[in-house]
Amino acid sequence: MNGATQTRFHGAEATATVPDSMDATLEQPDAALSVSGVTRRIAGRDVVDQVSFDVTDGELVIIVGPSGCGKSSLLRAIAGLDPVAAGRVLLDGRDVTALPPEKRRIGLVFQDHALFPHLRVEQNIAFGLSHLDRAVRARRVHELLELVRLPGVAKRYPHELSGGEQQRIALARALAPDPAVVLLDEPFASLDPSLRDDVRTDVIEALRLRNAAAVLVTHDREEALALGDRVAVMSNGQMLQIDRPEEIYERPSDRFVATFLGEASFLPDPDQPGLAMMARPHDLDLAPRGDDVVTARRYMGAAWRYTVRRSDGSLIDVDLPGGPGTKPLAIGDACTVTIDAGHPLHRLPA
Amino acid sequence: MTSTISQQARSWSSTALISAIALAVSVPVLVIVWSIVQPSTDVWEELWATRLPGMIRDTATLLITVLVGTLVLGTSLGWLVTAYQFPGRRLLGWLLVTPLAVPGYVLGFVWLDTLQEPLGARGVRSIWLCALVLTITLYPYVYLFARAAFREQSQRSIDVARSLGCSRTQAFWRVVLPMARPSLAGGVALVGMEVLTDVGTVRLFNVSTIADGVLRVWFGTGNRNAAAELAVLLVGIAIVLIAAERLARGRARFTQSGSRTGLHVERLRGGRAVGASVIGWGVFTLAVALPVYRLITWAIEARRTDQTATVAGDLGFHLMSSLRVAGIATLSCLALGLLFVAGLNRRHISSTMLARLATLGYTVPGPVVAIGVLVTLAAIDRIGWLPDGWLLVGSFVGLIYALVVRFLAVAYQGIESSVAKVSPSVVASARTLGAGRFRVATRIELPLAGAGIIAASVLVAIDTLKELPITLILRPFGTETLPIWVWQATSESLWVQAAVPSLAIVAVGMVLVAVLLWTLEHGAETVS
Repeated sequence: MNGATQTRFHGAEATATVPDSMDATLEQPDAALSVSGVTRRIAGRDVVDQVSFDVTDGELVIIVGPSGCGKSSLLRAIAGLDPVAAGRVLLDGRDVTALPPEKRRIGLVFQDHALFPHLRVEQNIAFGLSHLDRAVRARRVHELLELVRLPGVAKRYPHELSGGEQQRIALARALAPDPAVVLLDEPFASLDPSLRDDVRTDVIEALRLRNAAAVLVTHDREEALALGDRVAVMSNGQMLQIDRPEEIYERPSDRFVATFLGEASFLPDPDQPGLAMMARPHDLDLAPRGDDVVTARRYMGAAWRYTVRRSDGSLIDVDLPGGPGTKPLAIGDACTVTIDAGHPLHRLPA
Repeated sequence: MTSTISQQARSWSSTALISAIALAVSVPVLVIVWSIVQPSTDVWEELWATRLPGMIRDTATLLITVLVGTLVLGTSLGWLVTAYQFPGRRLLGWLLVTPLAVPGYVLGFVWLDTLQEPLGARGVRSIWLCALVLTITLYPYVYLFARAAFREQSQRSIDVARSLGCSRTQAFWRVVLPMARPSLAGGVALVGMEVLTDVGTVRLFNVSTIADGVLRVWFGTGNRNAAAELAVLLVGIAIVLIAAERLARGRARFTQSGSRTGLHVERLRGGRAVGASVIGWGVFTLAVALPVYRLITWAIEARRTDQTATVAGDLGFHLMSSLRVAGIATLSCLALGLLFVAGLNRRHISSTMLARLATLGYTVPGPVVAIGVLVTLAAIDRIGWLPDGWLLVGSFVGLIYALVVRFLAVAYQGIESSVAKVSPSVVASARTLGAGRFRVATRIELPLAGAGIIAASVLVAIDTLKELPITLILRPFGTETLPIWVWQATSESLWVQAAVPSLAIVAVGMVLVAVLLWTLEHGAETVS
């Protein structure tokens, strides 16, 4: 299969060796971005370790992971800002691994916007359009300002805009040259929480309207699950799993993915030794009386979250519905943890 | 109640004091500008018919050539040591500042003698060579500003520019350089002032600039009104220079919000690394190593032929004279600068006006300040407030006064900007812990801004140590600084005699530059 790939993508043989594990995830022919076996090495350490995934047109893939997991390094490697030690990056089927960033057709959006402070908004957006003639350029700038819903700010300077407006202009600038893929590095992290939702919605909307392929990096798991068409979890330079949000939340491949995306407890599987059952707090219930003890409780609006010490000494989180008329348990109450999921619990390696 | 009254009284008295100082410091400049109102037409007409057109042409040619030259040289060297890694980069980064310690009138006569053989006695005295000498001694101003500006920039701007289709080189031209523009303009403006001030270098190369003309009119005719009117031309050029930069800046800003990641440094290899080293060492050789080497050989010859003293005194006498002038002038500027920063309420418009007024002197070339002070002091002497036989003209106080008028701005702006960098929340914390205004200044602001304050003082010291036109016009009898000795020897082409005082200036200057570099490195640590 490697042979087939190399004939299709001329010139790929010069760049990297494709690891065997790649056979299973051969590039989709219609992928806007295809990353295979990309490794980034700094001082002998693989900060990005053989990462492979595809993004199709119009799709938003969100890479999520704790800080220092290599997600931003991966983005920089895809953009060509840092060299890769191994692997390939294909854009619209074109091998760009050896190309400098300016030849790749990639849009970049950073957390701190990185708008050029000495240029007006329209000049910022037109920055990547210098090959077009004046009239076409002006029309494109106008279109993009409409797209990000800021039609009146063309003549302003970046410092005269709010943080949210700056971020939308940064996106417009990245989209202007019609890139094969847009890469966004923590684009909403610097925004005020009250603004964040609006800007998020507008940015995602703009990406959809342009049918752009996009990769967004974040450390915010709720943002990842809510916005992504697919979500990838990274840890220690490796991409552990990539899947649709509900798949990856409900059927994580290992404990790290499970706990990174939400609260989870693990119960030994009585039937299959070596496997564990993943229980989210809402999969569990508490029966009155028993050997387990409530050690803490927290009111969360829609539910009460209890922390219960089980008879074997382990701690486990359980959500019980709140609301008028419910009588919450008190700290120190005796109880028994039961499974009340309404579906079989997901099993993963213990 | 009583405390608010006394507080108010104190605030009034401090405002009055500061206003008085600002007025005293700005009067000489205002006097010059005022002189244009009643021109002495006969001198003016004669000048216009004879030398003035040539002076204007030479001044313009020299100014433009040196501005372009220092901009190109200072910016490229700044970029080279910031963005590239090559053998000796760290050392060169420091050494390239050291030409600050070699005054143009010293570098000038070394080159004059070195190039006399190949170019001939006439050919060597050209305006272009003069411009080259000034470029090589003044570029460190642009270099220092450029380096600071490049260090502040974020790699992300370059990353974004590259993702939008720019190569590394294009990104430099379209993003890095435009963002550094205000800093570069600031450095170039300083260079412009130095060129307009210069009288020592241009005299060596027979270039007759307006500054030189002011000096010739004063020493030739003794007509201080005519000299003042000629000086107005220099003020005019200086104002145009500053206004041009302000206009060009417009509404745009040049700093970015967000984290400063610093620029990525590219490692040069092979021929390119060698090339980078050669350029850096080449500039250092031409500006510092060659002149120091020649000065040393001349000084040895001077010692052998017993030419290490003047009629006024030996090296020790002149050195003490220089140190006394530079030291007292620097301390005065420092004290007044601190007083200004501590006393001015930065939120008040009136105080910004006062600060502008007090720092007017630095935007005015040295000969103008000298003539302005002369006119002012002469007027005071005529009123006769002082006891019999006491005259301000030709006194040590008069000289220090003029140096303060010229250089207070350097001290004030340095102190102001480093105090402004002290975080307001740190000051607020101190205030809520019960510290008063004075305690905050002495315990919080001064220690935190210490490095910046030292750096500002050192800049004043370097400037006053090299200073020529003001000292030349206003020095009292018995004060013969090192630059005066160099000036007297070189105006008769006695290079060997000029070597000893030149070497002394360079040596003291090198010590000051070393202190400056040290504070620049350490200042960065305390501020961040």
